[in-house]
Order: sequence, then C-alpha cells, then structure tokens
Amino acid sequence: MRFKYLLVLLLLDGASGFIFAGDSDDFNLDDKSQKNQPALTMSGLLRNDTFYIRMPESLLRQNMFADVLETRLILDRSRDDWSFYADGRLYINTGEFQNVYGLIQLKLMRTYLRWFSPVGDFTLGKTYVNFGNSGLFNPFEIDKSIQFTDLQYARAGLYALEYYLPWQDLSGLKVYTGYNDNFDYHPKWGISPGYHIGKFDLGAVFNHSDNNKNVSGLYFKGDAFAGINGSWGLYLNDKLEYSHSEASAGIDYSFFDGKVITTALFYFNENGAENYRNYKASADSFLLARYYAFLSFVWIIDEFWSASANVFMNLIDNSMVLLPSFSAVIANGLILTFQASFATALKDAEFSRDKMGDFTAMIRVEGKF
Amino acid sequence: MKKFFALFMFPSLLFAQSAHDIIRKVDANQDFTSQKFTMRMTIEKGSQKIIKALYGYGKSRGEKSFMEFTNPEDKGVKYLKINDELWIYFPDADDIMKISGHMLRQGMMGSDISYEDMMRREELDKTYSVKLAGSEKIRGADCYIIELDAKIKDALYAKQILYIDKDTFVPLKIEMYARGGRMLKTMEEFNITREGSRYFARKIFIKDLRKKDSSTTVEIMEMQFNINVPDSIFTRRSLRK
Repeated sequence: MRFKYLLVLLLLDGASGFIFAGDSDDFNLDDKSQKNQPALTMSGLLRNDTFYIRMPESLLRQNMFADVLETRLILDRSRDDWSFYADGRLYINTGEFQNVYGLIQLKLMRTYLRWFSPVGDFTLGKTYVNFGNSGLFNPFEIDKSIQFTDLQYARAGLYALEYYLPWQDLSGLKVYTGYNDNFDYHPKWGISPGYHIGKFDLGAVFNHSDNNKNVSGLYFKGDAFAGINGSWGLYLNDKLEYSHSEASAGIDYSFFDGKVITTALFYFNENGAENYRNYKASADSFLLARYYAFLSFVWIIDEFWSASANVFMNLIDNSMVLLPSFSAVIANGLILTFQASFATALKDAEFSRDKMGDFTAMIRVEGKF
Repeated sequence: MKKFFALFMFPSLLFAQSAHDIIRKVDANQDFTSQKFTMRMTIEKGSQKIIKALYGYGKSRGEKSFMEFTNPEDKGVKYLKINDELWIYFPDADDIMKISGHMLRQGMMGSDISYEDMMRREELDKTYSVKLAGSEKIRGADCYIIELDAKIKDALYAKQILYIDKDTFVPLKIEMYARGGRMLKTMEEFNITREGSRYFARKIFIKDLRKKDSSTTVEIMEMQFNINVPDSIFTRRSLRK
C-alpha cells in the first residue's frame, strides 16, 4: 500500500486540484457510484518490463538486457450526456531498447470528447476506431501490430470524428472519418452496421484507409457448442477491383467452470508470403506469411495466481514462438508477471532463434493507482 | 376428521406442500422487476486481499443486468448481461468485447462468485424439486432446511441445501453441490434488512471449496427494488457511456 501511495505522490507532484483515488480500503464508495462526477478524475499505471535475451552462440553478443518503464496517466470526466477521456503514456527505455526507440518516448493514446445526443453518440478527438471482432488477427483492425509481451495491449487511436447510431439495444451503425498522427496521409473513413441476431454479434464493414486501400467484409462472434468467431475481409482499390483477402476463424472453450480457457485461431492473409524467401514486412499485415495458427491455454489457478501458454505458428515455414507466462497479484492493484519466449526455428524462418534469440525472459511489475 | 386423517396418512404430502410454500416465500424475497445496487466485494486468500467496488442495475430477476466497477484498479470496466450473453467494456481500449457463454461460470473478477451467481436470480420453485429436510438453528435463528434438486438442465447447481430463517425467509446459509454430490460452494448471509415488504442480506460470505483458503465477502451498501430503471441502461450504447 505504501508503494502505491509513493507512486501516486511521485506522479501527482504539483498536480493538486485533481481528484484521485487513494487506497482502495478507504475510498468513498458512494461518491464513486455517482455517474455525474464532480470533477476530473485521474488514475494511472506504472509498469516496468525487464528483459533478458539470450542470443545464439553463433553471434558475437550472447547476453542482452533491456528495460522499459511505462507511466500511464488517465484523465476522465463523465456526465449523463457527455464524457471526456485522455490517456497519455511515457516510456523510458534503457539497454537494448534505448538503441532502438531512444531513451524517452511519449505517446498520446486517447483524448476525446463524447457527446451522447438524442440522435446518437458523437466522439471527437484521438479515439480508438475499431471494426469487427476485437482481438488478434482482426482483418478490419486499422493498427496491425502485435505485442507478443501483451496480446491485449490497447492500440493507439486516430484523430477522428466518430458517430454511433444505435437502432436496437444491441445493434447500431458506426461511421468515422479521421487521420493518423502525422495528418499528411489521405483521410480515412469507414462505415459498419452491426447487428445482434440469436446469440451472435455480426456485421458488415467498409473501410477506406488510404488511396487505393479499401477493405470490405463480414464478421461474426457468438455461441454455438463453444464460442466461435470469424471475419472475412476483401481488399479493394478505389475502383473496387479485388486486390487480396484476409480472414480469421476461431473457437474457444473453457473447462472446470472457466478455470481453464482454451482458444484456437486460424488466420489467412492472401498478401502474405507463400515462401520464407519472399517475406516482406508491411504495416498492412500483422505478420509475414500467408497462414498462421494461434493456440492459447490459460489456467486461472485462483484469484491471485494464473498461468498461460500462447503459441504462434507460422504454417508456411513451420516456425513457432512459444510464450509461457505466470502472473501473481501481490497486493491490491499490484501484479507481478513472468513471461518467457522460445522460438523454435533457425536462420530465415519468421520465428527463428537467430532473429528472436534462443529465449527471452521478461519480468513485469505493474501497479495501478 | 377427514382432514386430520389425510394429514396423518400422507405426512410427506404435507411436508412437500410446506416446502413449496417456504421456497415460494424465499422466491418472493428475491423477486424484483428492477433493482439498483452499490456493493463492495472483498476477495481473500490467506492474508492476501483484493477489494472491488461496483454499482449496477437489474431487471426481471436478473434477465438483464448492468454493472460498472468503481475501484481504482478496474475503474470504468462495465458488464452488460442479457439472458445468458455477456459483453464487457474496457475503458483503456474503449472497446466492447462479447464474452463466450461458457465463460459465465467463471469467477467474476477472480472472485468466488461466478457471473451467473452474481447476475442471475433463479426462480427456485420452478427450477428445482423441493424437499423439507428438517430444522436447525443457524447463528441462533430457527431455520428450515430445504433440499433443492435441479429439475432443468441449465440450473445453476445440481443440488442446493438452504437453511432458511423462519421469520424472514432469507436463507442464512446455502450449500451448493455438483452433479456427483461434491459440495462446490457455501454461502452465508448476514445483516438481514427489510426493504418494503421484502428482506435481504446486506453481507454475504462465499467460499469456493475447490480453492484453498479462499473466500469472497459481498457488502451491499445500497439496494433499491422495483424502482424506475430505464431500458436504455441495458444496451450496448450504455457500455460506452
């Protein structure tokens, strides 16, 4: 608890006037339950990831270290008819990461105003625009990056105006127009009607992401014998001529009252290489090859301990990266995670030890306040 | 005389009917068209402790429910449950995720209470066959012991034993069993309070017996029944509000 207070004091030095949450044992529950908060509230997170990377014997340097300290500050205010939300992140990189990313990085993830009008919700500012099923390998994802150390890590937003028109309790239309951070690209725009039918969320998407880059397709997620989901996107030029397609199909099921959760996801990208010699990184693709499988096994041991093993399998060069991890809640809001990664292949394969190291170990300490 | 003869000859009929009467009164205590609540949940294992705070709304015995977490670690996380479907909103991602139905039996936010325990109110008289198994004192209060055996496939538990206070018809203790007869959880209810014509517990203590040294305590800070809760709360739109 003292640690948490120390973090708050460090971060709030000179920031008096904001209402911030103290220790959970004594915050005023009744005040927090009111939707119309009296003032801007501040919360945040401190996260430190320390990495050890063991490179193959064939390389000159075998032991590499890196560290990234992330400070996240969130401001928000909610009223019945509008809300404000801002999320800024400061990264301090040392070791190998400093060579790649520099010592300090600043990232504005969100800053938006949302107005809940009688005719729908308008969001203006830097906001996350997402179409389709959120999560891994979504063909409609605008930011196609994967963080192997945190598969759920939130993606940065776009500077956009978004409009959501609800037409039933669980159905609605989402429309947006916006820009990337640098504003010098062609404006993006997209439209997606979403429906809820039976036990399924499903919808259609049309997204214009740049000159001659459009994706159009369908998605669904729901329950049959297990949780199932699927997405199919067709890439088209501005004359609506076919370029390539991208698809994903997944299934999930849990055992022992949700304590063991298993997931399998298959991903197809027609633009991906069919041979490892043709691998070419692109911001338009999650990874390099045409076919992938992702397998996940999560074991929630109890309220405080959990373990998981995730595997990415490149089905073109048959390389894999195995990501076992173990997490413990060591105090209210304070989580300790250990994660390792093992690449299985050598040389030119995507998940090769020559590129990713023989193994990587990461220790994460994360405190929310 | 004929009535007396009938009761003497068929005591099981008498008990069965009484058991139904008792369980209907338990159901009546739990029945609501709408509710609003504010609660604190303390999850403990040995000396470790996590505290969650939330407020929420329910309709039609929990067929629809909406909850928002307010403790600093989970602030702004919202749940919308409609029948047996669940959506979760994560404020840092500003995104809504549909959760697969099989996950509803998972402990909510790592607690000993599953999403189903928390958000669904079974009509016991319709869901279970009922048997009066006797009487016992629980913390000084005279209680009926009622055994419930599931009549339908999707009942929350295969069997439950309820120790029901004879004055308030609130179960002071509940034992939940799996199909094979293994006891899964125990629930104890404290601080019984009257709200209008019904009684409810302000403090509930739950132990999942499959977990060692683990327990969850729910403290209800505010509870209102049958108030005007707009349908617009139970929508996808309200998750992003």
